[in-house]
Amino acid sequence: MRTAGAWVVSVLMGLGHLRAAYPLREIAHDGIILYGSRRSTPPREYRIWRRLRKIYYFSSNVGKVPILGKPLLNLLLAIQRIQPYYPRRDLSGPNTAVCYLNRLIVRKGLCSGLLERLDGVALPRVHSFFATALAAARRPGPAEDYLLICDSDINRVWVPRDPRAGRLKYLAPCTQVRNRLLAYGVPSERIFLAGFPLPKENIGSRERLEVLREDLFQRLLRLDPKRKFFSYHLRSVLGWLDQQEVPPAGPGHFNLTFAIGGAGAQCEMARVILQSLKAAVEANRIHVTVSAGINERVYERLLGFINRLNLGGEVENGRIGLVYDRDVYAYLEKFNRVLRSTDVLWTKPSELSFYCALGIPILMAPPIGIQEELNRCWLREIHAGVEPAGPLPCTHEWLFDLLENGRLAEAAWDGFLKARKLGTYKIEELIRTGACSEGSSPLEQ
Amino acid sequence: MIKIAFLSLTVFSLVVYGVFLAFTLRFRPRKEARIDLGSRFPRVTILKPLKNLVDDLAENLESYFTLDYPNYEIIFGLDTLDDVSLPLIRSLQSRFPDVPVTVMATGHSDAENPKIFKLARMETAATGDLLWVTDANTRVTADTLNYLEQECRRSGAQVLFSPIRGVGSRTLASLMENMSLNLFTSGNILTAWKMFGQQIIVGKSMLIEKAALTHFGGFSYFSEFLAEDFVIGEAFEDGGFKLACSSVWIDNVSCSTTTRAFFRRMVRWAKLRLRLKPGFYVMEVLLNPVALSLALPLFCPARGWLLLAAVMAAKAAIEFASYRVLTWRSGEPLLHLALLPLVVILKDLILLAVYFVPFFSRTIVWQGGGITIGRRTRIGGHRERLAFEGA
Repeated sequence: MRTAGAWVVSVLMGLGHLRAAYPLREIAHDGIILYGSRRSTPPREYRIWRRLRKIYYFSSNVGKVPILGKPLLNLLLAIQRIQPYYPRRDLSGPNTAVCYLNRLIVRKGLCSGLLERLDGVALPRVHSFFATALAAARRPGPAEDYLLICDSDINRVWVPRDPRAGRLKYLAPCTQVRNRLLAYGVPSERIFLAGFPLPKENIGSRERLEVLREDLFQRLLRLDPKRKFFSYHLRSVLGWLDQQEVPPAGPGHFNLTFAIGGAGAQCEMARVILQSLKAAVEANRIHVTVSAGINERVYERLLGFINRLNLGGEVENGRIGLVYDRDVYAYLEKFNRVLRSTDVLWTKPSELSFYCALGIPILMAPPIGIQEELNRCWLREIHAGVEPAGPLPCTHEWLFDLLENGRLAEAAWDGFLKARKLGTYKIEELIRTGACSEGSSPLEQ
Repeated sequence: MIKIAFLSLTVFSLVVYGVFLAFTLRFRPRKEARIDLGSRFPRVTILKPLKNLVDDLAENLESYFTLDYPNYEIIFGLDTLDDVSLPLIRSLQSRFPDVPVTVMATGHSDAENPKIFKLARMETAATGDLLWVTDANTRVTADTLNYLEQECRRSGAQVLFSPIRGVGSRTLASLMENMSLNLFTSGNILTAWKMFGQQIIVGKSMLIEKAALTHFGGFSYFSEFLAEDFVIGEAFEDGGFKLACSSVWIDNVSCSTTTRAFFRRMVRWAKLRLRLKPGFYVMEVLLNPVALSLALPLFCPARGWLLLAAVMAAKAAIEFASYRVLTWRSGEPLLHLALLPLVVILKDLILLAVYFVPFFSRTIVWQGGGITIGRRTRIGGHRERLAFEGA
């Protein structure tokens, strides 16, 4: 007999893996398990996770180290390298990272503490990080293990040494991941093209997507002040979004959200952007929200930028906003709320790339790491990502050019049409029934 | 070579103390020119977290009831209404009925900074535009708040902190503690501020603009950190707010401290300093000329003892000058003068022992509980604890 609940396991490694798990909190038995944290991990194993985390944060910031930063970054990128997909070939042979992870699991008992806990209640397990999933899937038992993939392409390390023999099932956010998994040797029956889990509060019901559609319509109105986009796509928009007409354009602002990554590497970018957009903010042409994550030092620095630019008053009148909370779940909740009124999301192409499915155009900050490089390619491919058209100090010029020529609205629309938005619902369905449909139309995917 | 190195370091150390002394003398407590009070008196809320009795608590608290500032209130925060300080507060309330007083039982949290835990609850009842956070063992004069408010207005600062003057010594250990506060702590504060524009806030007295504090969501923003004063300073500075060091000294009353209590307090502060600024802390041993001079007889067999005596005499002289200027008029017995050289040497030797402790322990014993700290004095040691697991 199947159940509606599941173990939902994530890790402390930036915000990406947790962001993917967060929308599944309703089905999470005993809350989302944050493995690798001090409380949930046996001390012996905790040290390994701490080391892995340090490497992660180091690699996120190493590029900024003077002189040695660039070569070190290149070295790390080479280690994380993902084989080119073309020409199509068998990529199922394990690489060094797979062997190393295997050794950590088998010899060092990585995730052994987690498995003891999971064995307590026989429920399906949804993992948002490969190490816990691979360790769990090695263990004999009736429980089903699902691995939720958080990027648009993946390293071989996400798949076990012998991909055909395992029982791990994959939740792919996009077609490219499914193709990649097939190339790694994972049988197609263990791959589910579900989509990235997005917050339900930003979508509405599965059948009607009323929140998403209404938010998107309002967004498109703000993103197309000259109605250029609508002159091409009017009927399509009215049809998909169930609207009657487009009101005439009027004066108004649009909302930009700049997201700083979990490691805080884009803090300086935020300063330059705020400086550049200062006059536009004061003229109420744009509202800017900066997401500081859960890092108080980032928040303090942002506050410093704002006060030194004499923009404190704009915070009070709501034209500049800051999203920060020390509590990670409170932060995610605030961030999701802000997204509803966000018209442009400026972020490095992390897992947030998949949020383009909500009809939010992604303005792409420089990627960090190979995964984000590939996310950027994916965003370009589906036309939901927009490259900054000029240097940062000229944001006040090119951003409004992109707005006026309808490029941002177009990206919003393409993201809505082409990216999968029902990941959360489909994963829940999969847990409940053992199967889920891929869907064919934009409202079913 | 080693001989020259040690001699140089010792001389350097004495020179640094000379600089501390110079700044202490230059900005010593004195009556400023008559202040222009103007007609605007923004409301000030004095926040006083209390727990149990401290030296001369009644007199300390009374000094806050007799301020000549016309628009202020006092909020006391106690763990529970069983606290032994409550009768004292009630007695002062009845003697000074014109001073608006609120007493709050805030409870206590083991997972957060106990002082910030109290302040976060007390600020909800505060009606002032300025919040003046002062410790239980501080004492002020009637015009202190006038000066502070005026300085705050003049400088445009959102946080105004004060140098500390240790007074009231009745025991050898309290004399050591007060001397340490006067020269090392306040010398550091003044030198860092006046020479390098760097803030080293000691939270004995902080006047904070409430509007600026709201940008951080109130005091609770700092609840994860044990060295809340330093972190408040750092956060406000990074947050683009202005900080200023006041010219008004605040008296820190320490009368009956024991050597054991002195040692433990110094260890506690040393542990905080190591976690706040590890690089600076490691160098701190160079600020103990008495400790450095102990090596001189080893490396200079001929004149080592003489040099040792000279260094100790020089250090004692510097400390005496500081003591003479800062606290002599506060009525300490003359016996202290005779004991002073001995006290200086003993204090510096104790501080040498204190110096090594933080390298081996990061648990701080405070208000009866043990608190483990990590970088930036984060309680629990690891940022994940509250950020992730408390969620």
